[in-house]
Amino acid sequence: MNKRLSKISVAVVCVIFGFLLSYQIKVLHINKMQSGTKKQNAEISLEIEQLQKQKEELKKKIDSLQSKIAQYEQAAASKDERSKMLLEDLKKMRILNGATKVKGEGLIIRISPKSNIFGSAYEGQPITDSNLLAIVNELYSVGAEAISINGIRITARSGIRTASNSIIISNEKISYNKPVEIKAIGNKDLLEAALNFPGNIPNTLYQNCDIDWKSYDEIIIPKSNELVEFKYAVPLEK
Amino acid sequence: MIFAIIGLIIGIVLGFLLNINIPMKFSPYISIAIIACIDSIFGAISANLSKTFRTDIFISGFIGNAILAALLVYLGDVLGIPIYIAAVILFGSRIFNNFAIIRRLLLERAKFNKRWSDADEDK
Repeated sequence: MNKRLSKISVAVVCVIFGFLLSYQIKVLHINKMQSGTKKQNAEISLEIEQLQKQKEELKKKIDSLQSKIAQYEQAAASKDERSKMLLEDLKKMRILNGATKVKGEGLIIRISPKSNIFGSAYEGQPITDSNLLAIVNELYSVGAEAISINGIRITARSGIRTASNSIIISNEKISYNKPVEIKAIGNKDLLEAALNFPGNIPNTLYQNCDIDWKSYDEIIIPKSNELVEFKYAVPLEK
Repeated sequence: MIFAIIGLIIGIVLGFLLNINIPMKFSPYISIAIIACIDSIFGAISANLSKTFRTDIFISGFIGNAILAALLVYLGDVLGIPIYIAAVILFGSRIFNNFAIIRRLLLERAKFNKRWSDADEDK
């Protein structure tokens, strides 16, 4: 009787052991299966490439459509004086919105992160979102009429902020350890004076980067790729 | 021995067939339970070989060790310190100890048997 009980007790422990063992193996296997379905890096980069191609094509489409619109506008404006004035207004609004390419006198600022003499790259973020914001703010305050950062037009609705490992300017990414080019159209003397004024360019940026600027008689600033759509704001009519 | 193997097979089949979900946060408990089981089984084998196996000691040892280990895991959980490692290390060393005893007993037995058979041949 005692012998049988002992055998049964060992068997029960063995049952528990086997159960736990197989359960654990099963759980591990399921976890592996789930992680296997996650996308691999190569796939993701392929997808990014495709999406970028798509974006380029769509941009071309937008350009052709906009040139068509311009033609229609010209045709409409040639009819009478009132529509000509409307067209003038429209042009102004477009520049304000960043909906057209603009050219004019201004200056280009180049910010390039300093390369360390000792070969090791600077740890952290050489260019920050707040640095760029401060510069853009200074430029606007002396009457810059159009500004772009690395070819991204700054509009009334663009934000500059850091997200993960890049700076995001109105939904487009720029790297914070690669050279940044800020273009501004406006009175070039005023713009230069604003940059020369001590303290207007953040000190931290001077420590981490080489900054130089040059004024030009003609700068071309690209249009913004953002679609201007108002979902919430409705004009108040009196 | 046969009982043990049958039990093991039943357990493995149960584990694969039954769809029981143990939450992820109990995984330290499972690891402790597995190692407590292995410890008990090795203890049983070595006790069996040295003919000192007692059912009450076996059962109380298994349950008591498992409860104590689970308490350690719980305490570790509450304090945020992995105290259960102490139980894992202890069980591990006991497993190796028991294995050493089993090994020695089996080797001795083999030697004993050989001597017997040699004596038979001498006759």
